[in-house]
Order: sequence, then structure tokens, then C-alpha cells
Amino acid sequence: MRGIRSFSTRLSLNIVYFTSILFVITLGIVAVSSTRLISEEAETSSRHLLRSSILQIEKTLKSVEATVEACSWDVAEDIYRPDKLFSYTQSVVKESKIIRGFGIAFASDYFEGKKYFCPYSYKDSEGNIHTRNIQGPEYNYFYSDWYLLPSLMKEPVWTEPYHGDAGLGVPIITYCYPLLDEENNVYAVLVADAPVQWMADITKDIKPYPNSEVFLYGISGSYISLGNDSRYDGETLLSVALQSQDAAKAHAVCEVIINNDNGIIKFTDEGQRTKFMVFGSLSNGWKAAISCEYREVLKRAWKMNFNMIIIAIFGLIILFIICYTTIRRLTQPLMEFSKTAMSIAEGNFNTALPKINSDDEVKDLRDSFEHMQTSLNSYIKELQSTTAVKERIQSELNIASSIQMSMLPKNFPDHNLVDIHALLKPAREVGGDLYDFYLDGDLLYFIVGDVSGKGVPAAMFMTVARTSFRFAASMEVPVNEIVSAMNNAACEGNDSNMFVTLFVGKVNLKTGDMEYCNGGHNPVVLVTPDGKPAFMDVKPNLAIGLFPDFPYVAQSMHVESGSRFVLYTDGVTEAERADKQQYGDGRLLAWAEGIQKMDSSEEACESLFSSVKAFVEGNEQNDDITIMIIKIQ
Amino acid sequence: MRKVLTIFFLSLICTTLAAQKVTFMPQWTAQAQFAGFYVAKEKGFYEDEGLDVTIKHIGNTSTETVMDQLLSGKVDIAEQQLLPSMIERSEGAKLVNVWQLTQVCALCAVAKKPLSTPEDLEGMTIGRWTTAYIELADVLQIINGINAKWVSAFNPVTLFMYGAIDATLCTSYHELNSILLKKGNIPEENILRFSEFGFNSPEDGLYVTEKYYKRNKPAIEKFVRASRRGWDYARQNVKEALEITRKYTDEGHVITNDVMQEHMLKEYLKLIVNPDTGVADYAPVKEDVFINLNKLLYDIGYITRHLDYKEMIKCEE
Repeated sequence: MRGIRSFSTRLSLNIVYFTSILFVITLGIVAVSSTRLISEEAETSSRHLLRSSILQIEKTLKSVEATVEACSWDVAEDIYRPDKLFSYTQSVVKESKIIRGFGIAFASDYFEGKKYFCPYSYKDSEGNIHTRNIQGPEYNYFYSDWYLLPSLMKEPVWTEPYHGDAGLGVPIITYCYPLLDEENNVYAVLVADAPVQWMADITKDIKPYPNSEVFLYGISGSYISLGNDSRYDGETLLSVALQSQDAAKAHAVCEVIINNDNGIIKFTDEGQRTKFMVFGSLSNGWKAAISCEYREVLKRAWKMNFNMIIIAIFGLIILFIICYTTIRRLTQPLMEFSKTAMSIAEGNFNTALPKINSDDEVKDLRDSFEHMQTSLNSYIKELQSTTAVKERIQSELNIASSIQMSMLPKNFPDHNLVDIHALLKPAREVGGDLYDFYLDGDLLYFIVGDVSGKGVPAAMFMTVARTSFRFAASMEVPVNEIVSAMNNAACEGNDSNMFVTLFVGKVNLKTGDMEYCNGGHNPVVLVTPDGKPAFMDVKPNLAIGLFPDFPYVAQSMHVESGSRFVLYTDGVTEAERADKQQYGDGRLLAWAEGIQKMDSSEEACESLFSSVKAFVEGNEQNDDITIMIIKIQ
Repeated sequence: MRKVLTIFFLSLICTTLAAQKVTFMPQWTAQAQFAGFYVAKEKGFYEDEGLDVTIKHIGNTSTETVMDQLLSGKVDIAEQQLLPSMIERSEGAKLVNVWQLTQVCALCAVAKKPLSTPEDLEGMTIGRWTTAYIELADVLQIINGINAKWVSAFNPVTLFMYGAIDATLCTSYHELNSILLKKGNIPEENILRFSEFGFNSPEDGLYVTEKYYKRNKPAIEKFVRASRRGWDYARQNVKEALEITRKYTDEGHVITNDVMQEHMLKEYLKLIVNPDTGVADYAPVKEDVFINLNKLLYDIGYITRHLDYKEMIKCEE
């Protein structure tokens, strides 16, 4: 069981993974868009609601203002009958639903002998109307806001909420209307007191969201208390702000409200609730505001987003199941192919392939598999045949090698005048090097040669060269004639233009006289009895097999007793290491310096071969190596 | 006879053991300006001295002054400023200062436009209170040669906030902060602090009539001792003092808020610190200060006779 590592599981998970990413991105975009849209919609609707609330409040304020203004005409007409003014104040309070207290505060000594004169009526909580003249040092209205503000400003003013001492006993706001004489001096101020409760009655139903709050601020930024909510009694926008944790931020928010007629601000309150507040101005300079929590505003959007997430999770699960089953169904043949491949790998080339009914890539795969199976069958058959041929050729080559080696002398004479030994190490099964020697009485004929090329052709040409040497040597002719005879024999029918470099020598073992002829071969190293090695002075001549009847020149010399000849092919001096450095003449001469210390030519042969092998450091032998060492006793 | 004597001695003992009743009136409605007295009352410091103190506030729409209440015998001890007290005494009121609380002048002026010197108030309509700083405002006007129109009001700050007046007097510990809390921000150059212009007289202190002083000196000493203890406690326990103050503001239906009261108390506690010693030692008004003030008031014609320092200042060191 591969479990989660199976192709179908991984592919299904990948599909679900990328689909999830797409979904998250899409949901994110939808969530942001819907949040923004719903927020904007809530802000707009709150603005409208605020505007309509302001209109409702202003409607009531205007009704008070209209009542007071209408009364001002009556007061002006009856100004000379001060006692009648009490009835005006009574009737205003009686008829108005909003005005709970009404008074006419005259300037000091407006009526002769009356420093204070202020007819005032108010309606108590049970609806009884009380009327009196507010006067005396215990209530010096000349210093009250409601008297001073219209007197100084000479225009009507709404006061901010306060606890009046005139009898109402509840927080009130007062509309103060100045009466001006012809010289524009204020001679009286009409005052209409209204409990702030009516504003609470208007605003209590303004709740766009359950936790929404409505605020009214006076001209000086003081909270106007609404209803029984006493949280903000005596507070101002800034005093509340300064009590918050982030006072600086709250202060900045307040300044926006203070310095602008209307607008919207967004902030985070003490409970870390993100809110927005729309605010607007009333005609009397007050400000109204509605605050809403985004949490509530966006509840609908979040619910929708939550549903989308749930649906998406279900969708992803279903998608995974569908993908998994579909991919598993589609990849079932692959598993069968896998089993088939394993069977074929075990040598069952005729294993039946699974049946594919579809016409798709899997069918193509089956066809390819079938073609591979057929090709594999024929290849194996061909391979078997080729291997048989190769084995046969190898066998024949081994035989050829054996024959070639058998042609070379293996038995070296145990002679008191000469110690001769040679070895040949072909690079392939058969080689193109040759060596041979021939003892005729006291005369020793010897040859070392190297056929151009390698392998079977070189071996065959070597055979020709060796045979012709034996034949020519038996003729007891000078060595240059031996070489010439060999040359003519090699040139005959040499369509493939092969040639042989060689060194042929003849030594009289008793006298030490020696003849030799070099046919384009490496110069022989002569080591004198005192152990000094040097290349012999040889004329180059030409390799045999190139030009018939070439006049080969022989040379002669006298060999001291104890001298040693080192004959070799270029497989010795051109033996290469991996770094392409060759064994070379220098190393050969250096090696030859120690040859006189060796007991026998056989030991010397093995020593030189070992020196070469050590030099190449295991690099593959790329040419035949032939070494012949002759010591004249 | 034995029975009569027993009753006489018992009543004498009861009278001696019963706490002495003292009625005290701060100079304005309940606020943190008087926190030390509230603390002394609520923490039982007056009781510890054997006093039964009643704290009575003046109505916020009344023009009857604290001094009126004191002189009429409605209250025993009143808190009042030095300057109006000196004027009252020069006019015949037998007042004595038994304890000096604040050591510096807290009066400021705030205007719609920058004020660099008192002369900049020239020609302005300026709000002031009905009971406090009236004389000081006049003195300032006279000594600076200012021709301003003064508007007395219970709440001059409200007039200023509505834009009905050009400037208003205010204290650094109360109204100035009240304006800041409402308006948001006022440029510092629009605020004139009179203490920075050579007028830095001590202000709030406790006053009694000479008659009361002679008859109740031990009780006055007890009241001062307990009040001092109350102020020391308030200075070290601002939060608790504010909570106690809140009880009084709520009872008095004072429209205020915690931020304002906290600021007021903290600023007021600065005024208690003696600038000469750097500590709140409740030092009596210095004689040279008293003499200079006396001379000033006399020179500008605000008083018609010189006052004797030792007759009026009865504070114990």
C-alpha cells in the first residue's frame, strides 16, 4: 500500500491544494468586496438615519422656537400690563407639550422699583402648573447663562442642558429669546425650558444596530444626556477621550467632530471594538452622532462568508473524492503496466499486456509498450545471435593468439656464450609485434619487429615477416640481405600497404663480431660491461613492406664480452599514463643503467616490463610490448 | 440638692464630651478645589479632633457670597480669597485669617486672540465670576489702566464658549482646563497668566469672624489641624481624594467629569506649594506681602483705611 504516496492521492491532493488557494483568493476578494460594500451601505444608511433624526429634533426645537417667537409679539403688546404676563407664561406651559417651564425675565429696573421681574410658570411631574416671580438675591438671573447669552449676543440661543433651580428638578435645555427695544437694547428675555427627556424619546428608537448609540453634543462639546443614561453626565467629548487607553488617538477623533460640521470617523473604542461614527450639525450649533460597531454591521457578511467557507470545504472534500477515484480509475492500467514491466524485466518477454478499451494516451502507452515488447524480443534474439558469433570469433581469436604465440620461441637456449630472453605482451588477443632468434653454430640471428596496425591483420603480417626471417636467416647471408629478402616477401601482394619496422642482428658468439640492420625500428640500447647504456648508432633505412628491392644497409661492430643488448618495440617507449606522458627514451636508459646488476636476461625482461607497468599506473595498454635482451658472455 | 448637683455635673460632662459642631463653607460649589476638606470630613479627621463638621456649599446661582454667610453667622468657618477678605475687613467686617492654603495666584485670562500683556485686554468684553476675583479683576484693570467691559456671570466660560464675550477670566486649575476639554485646543499665546505679570498674591485661606475666633480658638485650631491632615492625605492619595470629591459633586448636581476634577486637584495641589520653600507648608501670608497688597488697594482707592497685619492674620506657624 502506497497510501498518501500513491500517484492518485498526491495528484488529488495537489488539485485540492491549488483549488484551495484559488478558493481562498476568491473568497478573500469576495470578503473584502462584500465587507467594503456593506460597510459603505451601513455608513450611508446611518448618515440618512442621522439626518432624519436631526430633522426630528430640529422639528421639535423649531416648534419651541415658534411658540416663543409667537409669544414675543403678545408680550411686546402687553408690556405695560406686567401682571397679565403671568397668564402668558401659564398658557404657554399649559398648551405646549414640550415646554415645561416658561418665563419672561426683564432687565433690572425695567419696571420701576422692580430690580428683578421674571414671571415664570412650570408644569410639575403631575401636570400641575405653578406660577411665580423669580427674583431675589437667591436667584439672580442676571448672571445666568440663559439671560446673559441672548442679552450679549442679541439673538435667540439654546442653552446646553443644566439643572435649573426654578422648580422642574430635571435636566433641562432652555431656549432664550431676547426682546429688543428700538435702540436695540435687550429689555427682556423669554425663556422656554424643555426637559432633555423628549430628545431621548426621539433618539431611543434610532438603533440601526443593537449596540448603536446616539449622541448629542452641545456647542462646547459637552455630552447632552439622553434619558436615563447617565454615563456621560458632565462629560465632554474630550474628557471621555482623555480617559481612554489611547488618549492621543481618541483626542484626534474628537477634534474631527469638534472642527467639522458633519462627517464620518472610524475608530477603535475601549473594548477594542472597531466603530464608525457619523455626525452632523443641528441649526442651533449642536451636533448629533450615531456610532455603530463594524462587528454588527458586518455580521451578515461574515455569516455569508462563513457559509461560503463551509460550502467550499465540502466542495473540496467532494472534489478530492472525485479526483481520487477518477485518477485511480485512469491510472489502474498503469499499475497493470507496472506489473507487466516487472514480469518482462524478469525475462517473461511474452507476458500479456492489459487490455485498454479507451482511445487515449493510455492506449498509446499500451501500443508503445507492445512495440517495446516486440522490439525487445527481436533485440534479444539478435543479441543472442550476435553473442554467439562474437563468442565464436573470440574463440577463434584465442586460437589465433595461441598459434601466434606458439610461433614465437618460448624456449631460450642455455648457452655458455649467450643469455637471451624475450617477451611479447600483445595489446589485443593477437598482436603485430614479433621477435625471434636462430642459433646456427656460434652464430646467433635475432630479430625484433613491429607490424603497423594491430589485431588480426597485423598478426597475419607478423607471421609472414617471421616466416621470411627464418627462411632468409637459414640462407646464411648478410643481415641486410635477410632484411631485403624479408622486404621483398612483405611487399608482395601487400595491397593493404602494411609494413614492419625491425631490427635484425647476427653475432658471432665466439669472436664478438656483430652485423646488424635496422629497418626503421627503434634504436637498440647497448649496455657495455661497465654498465653504461647508450643507443646504438643505427642507420634508419626503411621499414619493410613499403618498397620492394630497397637497398638496406648493414652495419657491424665488435661486441665486448659482458655487453647487453636491449631490443624493444615502441610499445615500451610510447607506453602512456593517463596524463598522456610517455615512458620515453630517458626512462629506458635510466632503467638500463641497472641492468648489469641483474642475474639473467629473463630477469631483465621482467624488470623492464614491470618498470613500464609501474609507470603507466594501471592505464590500459594501447600497443603491443616486445622486449628482447641479449647478453654476450 | 444632691440630685440637682448630680444632674448639673452630668450635663456638664455630656456637654464637654459631645463633639463641637462647626459649619464650614467653601467658596464655591463642590469640586476638587476643596478636596482636602472633604477628605478630612470623610476620613474622620474632624471627628478625631472632636469636631462635628458640616460642609455647606453656596448655591451656584446665588449672588449671596460666602462672606455674607460668614458674617451673618450662617456658617462658622469659610474659605475665601485674601484680597476680597482684606477689602471686606477694610469696610468693617471683623474677619480674621486663621489658615492660608494656596500660596500663589491662579488667575488667568483666555481670549479669542493672543494676549501678550494685560494691556491686550483693552476694549474687550470680559467675563468674570459673580463672587470670586471681582476685586482682583478691578485691581488689575486699574493698575494696568485697562478699559474693558466686564460681564459678571455664574459661568463666564459658557459665555466665552458661545462666543458671546471676547475673553474670560479663569483659574489655571479649573476653567482653563474646562475650556480645553470643550474646545479641544487653545493656543498658549491666547492665555494670560497674571502671576507672570507681577501679581502673585496668595489666594485661598480660612476665615472666621473675630468674635468666633475669640470664643472658639481651640476648635479653630482643631479644624485647621484636621484640614491640614486632610490636604496632606489628599496630596498623597489623589485617586481616593477624587473619589471622595465625586460624592460631593454628585450630591450637589455639579455638572462635571472625572478628567476635569482630576486635573483641578493636581493643579490646585501645585498652588499649595510655597514657592519660597518648595514644599506644602501652609505658610501664613507674609507680612510684607500683606502690607504691599494693603498699600496697593489703598493707593487705587479700593480701601479707605490701612489694615493691621497682626489683627487680621492669625495663622499659627
